[in-house]
Amino acid sequence: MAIQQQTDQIDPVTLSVINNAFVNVCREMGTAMMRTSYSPIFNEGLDFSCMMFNTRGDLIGQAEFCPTMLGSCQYAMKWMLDEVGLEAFQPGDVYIHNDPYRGQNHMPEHLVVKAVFHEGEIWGFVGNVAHVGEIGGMAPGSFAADGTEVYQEGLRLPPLKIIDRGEYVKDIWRVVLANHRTPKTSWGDYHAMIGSLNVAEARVHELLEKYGAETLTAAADQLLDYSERFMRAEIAEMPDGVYYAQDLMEDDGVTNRPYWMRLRLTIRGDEAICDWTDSDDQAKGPINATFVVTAAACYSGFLHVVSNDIPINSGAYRPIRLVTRPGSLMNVKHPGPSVGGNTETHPHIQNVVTRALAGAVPERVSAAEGASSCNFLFGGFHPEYGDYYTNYHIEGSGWGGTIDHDGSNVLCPNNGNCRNTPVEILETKYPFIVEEYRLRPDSAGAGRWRGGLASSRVFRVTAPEITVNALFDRTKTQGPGIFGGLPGASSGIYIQRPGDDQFHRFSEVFGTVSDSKFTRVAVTEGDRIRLESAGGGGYGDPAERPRELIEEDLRQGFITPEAAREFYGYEPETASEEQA
Amino acid sequence: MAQWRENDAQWYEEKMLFCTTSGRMIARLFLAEEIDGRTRIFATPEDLELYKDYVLVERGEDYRPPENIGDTYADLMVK
Repeated sequence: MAIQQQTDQIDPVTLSVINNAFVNVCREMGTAMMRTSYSPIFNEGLDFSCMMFNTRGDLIGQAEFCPTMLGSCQYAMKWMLDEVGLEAFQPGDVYIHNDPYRGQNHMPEHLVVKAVFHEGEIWGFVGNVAHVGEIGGMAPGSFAADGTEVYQEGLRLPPLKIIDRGEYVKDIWRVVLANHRTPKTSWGDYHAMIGSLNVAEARVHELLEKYGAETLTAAADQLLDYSERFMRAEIAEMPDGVYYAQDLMEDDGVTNRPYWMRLRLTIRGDEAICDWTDSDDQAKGPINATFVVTAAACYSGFLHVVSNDIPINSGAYRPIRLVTRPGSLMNVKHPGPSVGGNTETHPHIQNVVTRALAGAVPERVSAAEGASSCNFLFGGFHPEYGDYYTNYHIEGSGWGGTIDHDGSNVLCPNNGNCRNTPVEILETKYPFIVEEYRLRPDSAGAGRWRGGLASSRVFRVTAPEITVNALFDRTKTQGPGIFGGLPGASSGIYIQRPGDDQFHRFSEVFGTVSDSKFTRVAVTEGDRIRLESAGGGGYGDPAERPRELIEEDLRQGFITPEAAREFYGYEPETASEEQA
Repeated sequence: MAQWRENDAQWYEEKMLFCTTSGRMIARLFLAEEIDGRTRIFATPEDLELYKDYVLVERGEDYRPPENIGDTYADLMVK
């Protein structure tokens, strides 16, 4: 029976229960996605997010998924409503949308949504955004790391109806799948997305039955306002002022030059203004951020330093204002490419936001993280199974040290919140042997609290030929430390050919413009590819690191004795000193 | 006086409008106001307000970063 509570304000307990119900709807959607999808980037990497929207396109429910998707999805949803109109949605319809020039992060991320009807009216929407691992374009895996236009990055979909009142819109499906290299995998992943919408729709119907539409709508509105007030209160506690930070992308895969992002952050009362107009013009290559990537990175940067108790929804984002220049690295204009803007530039942007906030709340920030997803994509005909495959592989990097903790080791960059793929899965599905997967000693930036360690992985090719693509950053730069902390180690991707005892950069062996961003390189049986992620920066003066922590790092093999001496001035006690 | 207007692009056109303040692309409705003899467009009323009390005050019209702006940032950011 519906609980009819028609007061203006819903009591805090009920509000909290409803908020948690929204979160749980999204979590259950995620479980359905994980269990039913085909590709490892879905079911192992968890590169997806599940959410709920109101009829204005505001994010009203989410769970612990990818910050980049959760920060930007409101823009994609609002665009969809503006373009197709609320009245276009019928019961059983599913719409899809991946266009970075209509409010999406980058092309691989597809938003699917379904309206939830109650008594003949749309109450709201359930949706999810997921990284579809192959969408066509110039390179297998659709990371056109040296592309110069969005059209090289795959199939661009404006908001389109793919399910019409429960029936396939077959013409659309045929066009979409004909443009993907691995249509069967796309088919499975799309159905995992759509199936999770059905799970969520059923749960929202249960909530509507229990609370009634009016109460549920009022609760969603109140939660939006509560989150806004909460975020404003958090910002109001920060000292007013103007704070500056900058960082660079080392190259764009097309031209061998750096591109700078610069933030002038103004804290003004209970509002923050993130002004990026001093950033460089947009790159020729695919490191450009779309406006929504920049927005999501700003939101995420703030969420890292404010209370964990803020319900994350569109209301929490309202006090964070954006100023960007179209045609810049922070707001790409058509037809510029942007696939790496979401994976590589996004974590850099968030690191810059954090760095600027260090001037306001130094005790709450961390040093920079590795900030590269180390995107490694490959495709070919499987020698055993015979079919064409592609895969999108990511590596974790070291996170930055904080005021009271070392940085975490080998975590997906802060934009993704994803997982690594187990070696057993990789070796079962694809023609590689993983000969090594380990933490890299001395990769953490030294500090009172050191950064997190990076990883090293060696793949050996077991097929006659595999086409590989890479989109890394931080191979020539390092994640900076803060307050005297030192930077983490750089990342890298290297190749060793049979008969050679050395690993080399891809530019040396294959003549790629960039060592870190390239496509369509053919590697052959017996080649070894080493992926090294980047380490996190240290927080505070390394000289202040307690001796017992240095010794524990030595015991664990996290640092070598040489590095302990060089960066911490550590000398082991001699036997006579120990006796004394 | 600001007025709401609609993007008149046809469905087959690639006509992109950007908010003067945030740079966000505008799908359909936007707010237009004559400022210093030029029509400026905004995604939201809050963007219009921010243009007047932040962009014009701190940056001025049609701001472009100077060549050596990176040095300024290097000096001003927390080390």
